[in-house]
Amino acid sequence: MGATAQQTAPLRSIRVETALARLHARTNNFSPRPGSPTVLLIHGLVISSRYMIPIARRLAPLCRVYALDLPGYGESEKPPHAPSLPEAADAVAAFMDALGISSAHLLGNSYGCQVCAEFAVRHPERLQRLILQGPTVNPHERGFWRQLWPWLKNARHEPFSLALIMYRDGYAAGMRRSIETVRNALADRIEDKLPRIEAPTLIVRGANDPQVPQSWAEEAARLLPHGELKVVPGYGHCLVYTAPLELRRVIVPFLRLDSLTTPARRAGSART
Amino acid sequence: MKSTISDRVTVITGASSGIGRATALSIAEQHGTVVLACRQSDALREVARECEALGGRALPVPTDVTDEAQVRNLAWQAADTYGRIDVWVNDAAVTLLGRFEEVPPDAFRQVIETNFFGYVYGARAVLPYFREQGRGILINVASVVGKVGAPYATAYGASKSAVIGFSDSLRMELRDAPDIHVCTVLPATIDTPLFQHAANYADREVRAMPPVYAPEEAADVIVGLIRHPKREATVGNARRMIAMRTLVPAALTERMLANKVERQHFQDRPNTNPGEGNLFEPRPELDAVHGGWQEFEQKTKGAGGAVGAVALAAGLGATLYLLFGKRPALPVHPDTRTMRAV
Repeated sequence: MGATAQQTAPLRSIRVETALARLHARTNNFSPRPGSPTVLLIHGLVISSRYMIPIARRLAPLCRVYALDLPGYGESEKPPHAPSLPEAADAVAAFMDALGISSAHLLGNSYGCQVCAEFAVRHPERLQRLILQGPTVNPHERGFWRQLWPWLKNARHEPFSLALIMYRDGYAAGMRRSIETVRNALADRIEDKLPRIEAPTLIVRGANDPQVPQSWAEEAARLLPHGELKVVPGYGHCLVYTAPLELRRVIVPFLRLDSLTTPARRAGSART
Repeated sequence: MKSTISDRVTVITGASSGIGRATALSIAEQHGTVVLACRQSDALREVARECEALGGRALPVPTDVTDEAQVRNLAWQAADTYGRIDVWVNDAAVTLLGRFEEVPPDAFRQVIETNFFGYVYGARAVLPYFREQGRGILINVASVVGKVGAPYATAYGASKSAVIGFSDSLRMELRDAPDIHVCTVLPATIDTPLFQHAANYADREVRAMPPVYAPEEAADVIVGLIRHPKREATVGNARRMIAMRTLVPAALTERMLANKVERQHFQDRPNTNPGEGNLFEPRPELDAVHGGWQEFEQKTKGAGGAVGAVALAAGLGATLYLLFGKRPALPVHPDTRTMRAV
């Protein structure tokens, strides 16, 4: 035991032609072990895969990782209108088609969870295991103004560099597209899709996340046929960026990724 | 950087009773997260329920600290559930009273296995996580007995001395990681069920040697270390006991302490049931935060006070009578008549 394996690995950019648009993604610079599973990282609202880099780099030693830019965001092609949830989910499927990936694990953050849930319902055979990190929208706080205040409150739990990323990506996406995407996100009812997701699903929330309160996270876990919930104390909404080590530790066993940096679990059972 | 208790994840061994349980409840009251470890899952579930009722988050993990695989599993469960281990409190301990020459060898060894090797396994399990995080606090609950010794406690004293030495050396090794702290806690006598659980091979029943301090005081010290880690912290009159040895010759303090143990570490009742206490199997019916020894001390001290007051009054009265009281003159021998009393 000992941290002889890498904790992070570098990423490189790829551009993939799909039927819908040319998509940009970040992936492992060095190929992982053959037979490693594939994890797709789906970013949140009005942002790009850039803020997925910390978790992507921590997962790269363990599996094949793709941090995708949804159409209209990051460095992906910008269609004239913002994608609806079904269109975003289909873009992910088209991305997998273009790379010959038959099925993969999905990890979404915030609005990315909504894209993943839509994908799980539209393309269930393409999904192995699902991780919803900070799933929005809390159905008990639906509406722009009721979501805005928690979003602002969360700001103090994230480093300022995340705000800079958001401004840059928001500027690149443009005001009209951003507003349309926000409207789509607020209209989407993730709670209606959760009961239809057959894949094993792990919900992870930061303990201090005002957008995903404990009650909603527990409700979401209950709605899922195979759901579980983990809470990371001391962090807010964007664990993928602000707490990548903690997030990696709680998802690696769920995804059954072999890890050399996390001390392997021994089969010890206590006398009771 | 998180510095509030509510954001920290703390692993506590020996969480079913005494200082461990008091610390878990104190952290839970501040909405912190605790991972609770001890041998008995029923006691653990009860403590976990109490913690959650206070507003904290609790994960019970039944663990026997003498089994290194179980301790590794404890660390893994904490990291798998919460993503991080901020603090590891090594607190699981047992005690054994009896003269060294009369104590069974396997009981002696079991005290060292639990109190010392249990802590070593804990440190070995958690340090890789601390290294990966770049920070962490390891709190080893030792005892003042590890510094000053006590008769009838050779195994216990040896195990606590070992913990202190281990902590000191480990702290020096970890000086390359300034955010990984190793803290030693030296409590004096604390009111916990340790004494009811004790393996007792002496000839009298055990009591907690006064002065006895509340486990909440020890919990406060531990929570204080989580906020501001220090090398060493004491609880109760431990600091005074240690300081005595620098002020007074050690031979004298040893004799004084030995006499105090003889007089005050045992009850007047004979030990009718010598046995191994909770060394090898847990005794869950005795699991609680307090052991009731503070009340016991009050009761015995109260009786002694009344006796002392009566004795003082009697002595004072006798002295005054002899000095000033009117008494008939004592008969004088004729041959001493010429000698005058002064």
